[in-house]
Order: sequence, then C-alpha cells, then structure tokens
Amino acid sequence: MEKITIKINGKDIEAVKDQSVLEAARENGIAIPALCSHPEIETQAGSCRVCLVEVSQNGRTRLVTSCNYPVRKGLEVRTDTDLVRRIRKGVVELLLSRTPDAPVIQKLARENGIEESRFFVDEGEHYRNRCIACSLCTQVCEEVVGVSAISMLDRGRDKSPGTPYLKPSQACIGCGACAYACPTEAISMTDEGETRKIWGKEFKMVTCSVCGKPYIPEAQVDWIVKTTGKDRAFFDKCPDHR
Amino acid sequence: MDKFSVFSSRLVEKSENFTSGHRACQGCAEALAVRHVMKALGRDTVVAMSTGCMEIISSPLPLTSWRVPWIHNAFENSAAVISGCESGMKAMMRKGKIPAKKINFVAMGGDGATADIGMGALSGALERGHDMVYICYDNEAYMNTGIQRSSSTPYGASTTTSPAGKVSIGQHTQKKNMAQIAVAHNIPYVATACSSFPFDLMEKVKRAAETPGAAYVHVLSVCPTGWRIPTQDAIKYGRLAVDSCVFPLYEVIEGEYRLSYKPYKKLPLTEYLKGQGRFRHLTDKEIQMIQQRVDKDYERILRLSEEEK
Repeated sequence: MEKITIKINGKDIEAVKDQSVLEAARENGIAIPALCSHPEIETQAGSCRVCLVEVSQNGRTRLVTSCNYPVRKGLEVRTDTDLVRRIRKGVVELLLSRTPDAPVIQKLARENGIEESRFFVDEGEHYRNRCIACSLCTQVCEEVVGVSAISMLDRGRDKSPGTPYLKPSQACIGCGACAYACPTEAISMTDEGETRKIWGKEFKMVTCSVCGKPYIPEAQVDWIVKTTGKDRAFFDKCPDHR
Repeated sequence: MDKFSVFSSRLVEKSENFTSGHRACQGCAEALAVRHVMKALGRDTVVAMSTGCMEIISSPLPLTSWRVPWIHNAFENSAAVISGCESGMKAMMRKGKIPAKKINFVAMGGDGATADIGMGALSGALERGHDMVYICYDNEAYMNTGIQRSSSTPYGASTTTSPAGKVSIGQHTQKKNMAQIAVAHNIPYVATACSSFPFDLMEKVKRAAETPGAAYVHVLSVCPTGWRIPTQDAIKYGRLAVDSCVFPLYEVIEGEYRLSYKPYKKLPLTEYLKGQGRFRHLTDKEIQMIQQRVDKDYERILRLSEEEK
C-alpha cells in the first residue's frame, strides 16, 4: 500500500501504487465512462476503449485505457482534452455502428453528442444484437464462477462470446453471472417453469421443498457442492425457507 | 434480478458509501437498505436527510458513516433542501463555476418524515419536477423516538401511542399509501422496493437516479425492535411481506405500472402476521378483514400492471 500523488486534470490526488487510473479517478469524483471494466476481474481487458485518457510521463504524452493503466509516481492524467474527446467520440460511433440497439451505447452516444454513427451499420449476417465483444462475460465465467464454459470465438468483426463449437456446453452451470455482468445486456437468459435456458442449453431447476419455487439450476448445486463441500440437503429449500 | 442468485452477489459494487460502525439496532434492515441504496448511487451524490432513525444512528457528533456530502435538516424539509441544492448546482454549472457532470441529488426520510411531517415539502418538490430522487425508508412507525404510530402504521399494529388492549385494536386507521400519492403527482418514476430483495432495490435506485425529473422510491425496511420480532428474522419478514402481497413490489414508469416480483405462491396473511409481536392480539376475524383489504389492493396493482402489457 504505497501511497503516491498523481495529477488528474491538474488536481493533486492521492492514490495507491499499481491501482488503475480509472479507480483512482473515480474515488476522487472524476467521471470516466467505461463499459467492460469490473473491479472483481483481475486483469482488465481494456477492450471497449471508452475509458481512454491522456497520460504524460517523463515528457511523453499518449492515450491509454485508464482501466488497466497503473498509477505511477509523477503521472499526469487529463480526461478532458480535445484529443480524448475526439477519439472517444470515434470509439462510441464504432460501438454504435456495431450495436445500434443497445440502450447503454445509445445513452453513451447521446452524452458524447452523437446522433447517428457515420459508419456502416451491418444488419446482415454479422449483426451481433447487442454484444460489443468486450469479453467481460468470459472473464467472469473464468475468474468469478470458475468454470470457463464460454470463450471468445472467431476473430475480427465475427468475434463474439460462445460455447465451444456453439454446442450446449458440458461445463456451463447456468448460473447467469455472465448475463448479469454484461454491460449491454446482450446475453439472453430465460426462466420458464422448471427450466432455464442460457447459451442454447436447458437446465432443470431445483424446486424448494416448502414453497415449490424453482430457484437454482441443478448443475449449479452440483458445482457448489463440488467446490465448497457443502451438504446437498442445504439446497432443498430456497433462501426464504432455510 | 432475483434469478441471478449466487454469483452475482460477488459482482455488485464493492465500495461502501455508508460505512459500518453506525449505531443501528441489531438486525436493522433499514440500515441495510441505506447501504444498498448508497452502493447503487455511487460517490457523485448529495444526500439530504430528515431527522429519523438513520440520521441519529449515522451521525453521532464527532463521527459520521457517510462518504458523500450529507446534509441533516429538520423533520419536514429534506425535499425542499435537496431541490434547493439541485437548483443551486444547476446555476453554478451554467455559470461555469464547477465542471458540468451528472450528480445525483437524493433526499431521504423515514415514513414519519415522508408521510406525516414532510408531506407538503415533498409534494411541492415532486410537483416542481426537480432532477432528484426521494427515498422513503418505511419502518411503519416513529421507531427512533420509541415506536409511536405514524400514518404509515398498518391497521391493527400495536404501538406505544396506539396500544392494543380491551378497548382498542391498536392502530385503527389504514396505512397511508405513499407510493400511490407519488404516482398521483404524475412524476416519471415511482417504485416500491424492499431491502430483502437487494438486487431489485439497487436496480430501482439506479433507474430512479438516471431518470430525468423527480423520482420516488418507497423502501419497506423491517424494524425488529418496533415490529417485535427476533433480530435475525428481519430479512425473512421483508420477504414474507412481499410474498404475502402486503407490500407488492412494482414500478410506475411514466404512469405505466410494471410488477417487478410476482410471488411464486401467494402466502396467506397469517404467515406474515403471526410472528410479529405488534400484531399478536389480532383475532381471526380481524385478520380476515385485513386479508380482504390486502387482496383488493394487490389485485388492483396486478390489474394495472397487466393492462399495460
């Protein structure tokens, strides 16, 4: 916990060494937009590019993604220069051309003064619904849940998350953490009666022995029992009736 | 949001803007509600808080639990104070004295401050349409001063100023429906929430803060001390209140009703009432009467939310 002082927008702020610039700025009330960053993930992918800031160190100035740029001594950060604004506008326009439907992206576009993307909106086979290919879902699946059921498939504009060969995954436990973490709400998860559908696989839900409410997929119970050694009988009842 | 059960709790905001070490009673679900609300709102928030439990427990003189700018005001005027803050900030941003950015202006109060004493100021602020959120933590009586009845106390509840006995049934008037009063102001966002459903609560507060214009969130906060229940059962009673449809969770967005949680199996009212000391004097006949009213109110909300579909 080595404390150092850095400058953000000309203001001296105290930060912990190796903390990300984004975290340090947000703790001090300086707003930087970001989509794919999540504090629970160890290595931020920096793939949405919305959190770009200008950093100066040893006389060199360049643009970096603030979510994975570590705080170092003598760092000067600017979040409000014309260059940052121009590049961010371009980034958001690109995102908007990929996912014109996502409310989060639409809101971001409005905030940056964009009415319509000047780029081509492909509504054909490459139309990816709302996914911005930030890979936060795959990171959550690997680091938070620990099953690695999904990964990023393909390259280039076809890049998107999915199960291996787009077939129902053996590893997926149907917990829905990916759908929860997704910044653009692109992953569909539907609960109908005693089945849950996610990533093209159907999960049977465990029903509460008291109220009869289906509340957790069986595969998830298996996973929790396997990893924590908890008694299986504990999951017979839903959290309301334990 | 209820379906994201296990791992999503690890993915919610970690920073605490309402810190531990405050002086709330054991098992206080209201302090829990404030904590979740502050997680949802984040650091760029100004809070004006009426006198009440949460003000007393979070700010004993040299200490504070708040990591955001926080104003304590009188019982009646938190809505007026926050609308002044909002207007002042807007003017200063226009003049370029502070950089323009999104700041949440939030007024908080208990049910007494909202439904009884601060009702006029709240109504005025909602009518003027400030970009603010009003959050009411409803524990169904003036718990801070020793469980006196408020207009939000439900029918039949025994409190120190409406004691149950041979002559009296306890509180003999119906609970004031504050959420419906807020809906009647035609504001863009009204919601009811409960701290036993934390994801739902956080979602609603986020949505309220994002909505331009006035928003109102009514949070049922179980009070083990005043409701006379064991301290470890506070969360359970919040869930029972929602599952027995005494306190339905819904949102009203631009006048359109949306039911956010439909109980899988509607529980009878007795499930909710039987463990609570404040209701223990009620006879079956009286419970039957309350049940009828609960059903009627719930069916109305259900009908309104289904009409929108």
